[in-house]
Amino acid sequence: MNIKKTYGYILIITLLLLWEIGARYSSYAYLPAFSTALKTLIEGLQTLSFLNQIFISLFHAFCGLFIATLIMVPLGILMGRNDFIFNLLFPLVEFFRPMPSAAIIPIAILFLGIGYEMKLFVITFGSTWSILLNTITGVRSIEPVYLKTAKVFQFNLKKRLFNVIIPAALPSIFTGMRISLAISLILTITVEMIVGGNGIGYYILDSERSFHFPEMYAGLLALGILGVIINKLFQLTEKKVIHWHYGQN
Amino acid sequence: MKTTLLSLINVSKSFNTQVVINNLSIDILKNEFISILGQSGVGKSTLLNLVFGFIKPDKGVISFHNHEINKVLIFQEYNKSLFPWFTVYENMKLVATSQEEIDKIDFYLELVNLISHKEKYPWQLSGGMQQRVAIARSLLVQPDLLLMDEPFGSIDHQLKSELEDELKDLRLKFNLTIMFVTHDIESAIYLSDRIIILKNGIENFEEFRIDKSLFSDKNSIKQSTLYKSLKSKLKV
Repeated sequence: MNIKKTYGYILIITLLLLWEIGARYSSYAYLPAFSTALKTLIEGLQTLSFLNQIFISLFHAFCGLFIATLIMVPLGILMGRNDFIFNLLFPLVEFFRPMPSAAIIPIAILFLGIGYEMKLFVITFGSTWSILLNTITGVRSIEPVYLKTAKVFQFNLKKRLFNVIIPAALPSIFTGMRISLAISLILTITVEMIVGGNGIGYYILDSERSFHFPEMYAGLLALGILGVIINKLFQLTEKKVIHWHYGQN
Repeated sequence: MKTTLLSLINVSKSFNTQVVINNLSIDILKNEFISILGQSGVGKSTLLNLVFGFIKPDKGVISFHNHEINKVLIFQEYNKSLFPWFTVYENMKLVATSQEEIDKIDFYLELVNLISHKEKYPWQLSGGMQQRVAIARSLLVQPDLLLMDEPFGSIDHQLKSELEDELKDLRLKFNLTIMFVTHDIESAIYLSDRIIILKNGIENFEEFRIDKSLFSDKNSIKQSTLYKSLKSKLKV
């Protein structure tokens, strides 16, 4: 491993040590030691209910991301290739995009209640913009030579779309998905905290309200670790799918 | 007597107010290798784009004499004309329109000495190799007319010389008709049957027929009167 890369890990270990020492020598009841939080997390991971909360949150986040990808990639391709559709829809995108996704929650509750549909709607709404904008950018910045080559060899629309446009835009689409992945996780936790019910966000807030501080920190630790694992898995998938992009760069 | 493959008749093309090609009339014969020379901005690439059909002339006609012509254009950007997400073989297969053409992929890759690289990605190949694949890919679809826009423009001298020899052989082997845009007078003389110098103004082009028997040896080209004359006309 590169020595410079170890600096980050050393910092994390230092912070955890500071947490451990600080908690042991402080009288704050709401700051258990790191070792206590870690022990609670390990114990929690052996119970079905805790694993279930994690699974529910992941399911919400991935469903939102999946639906956003399913809708926004085709729409982004259409907007990237067709000026009329771009000019028609872009002002609308610009109106919704800067809107904090949490601001949509009250309206979503009004129309969809506080169930699964509402959570999914909010997560999907927040995850869409990065995917959409990055798909548009990816499609609009395709090397003109690729498109000219497709024309030279008289590719039909399907061949042009699946063999030229989508592969060429994939690196940008992946960038959008990576950003949206983080947003979908953040929104999942936010929604779960606001409307409750289930999920790791609800678990953290519920633990705080019932003074189960080690559980609250265990939930936070679980979130941090999950974020790292999911990000790594996404990077590995990305490197596998668009290996040519990394290869030529 | 050779037949005419295509004719440009009084073709003009402007971009904004800038006249790039003015009232140009040229016949391109079947199996002819014609090089287009000229200073920057005289419309060499525009001419290829017009013939290919990427752009339409403002005036005049480009006639293929009522024949369906299969045209292929090879771009200057050799490192971008192949799709980097496909292997060499997949790049070839993508343009094939029949099983017969797919079956011939190995044959054409062998022809350009790249059969052992067919599973590689374009970015794993050198610039010269990529341009060879682009040529092999073009041959796969058996073009009636091969348009080449400075295909060896940014390739080093030694490799360029090898590619020119390969192109010369392929041209004879497959009776290709080639329109070849270049800045390189030496290449133009070595490869062509006819050279056209595009010019701005009323006298819009000048043509030179090449006596192939005089220029079979590449080394003699630079000493020739034709070379010196073209050089002075192009002010290079």
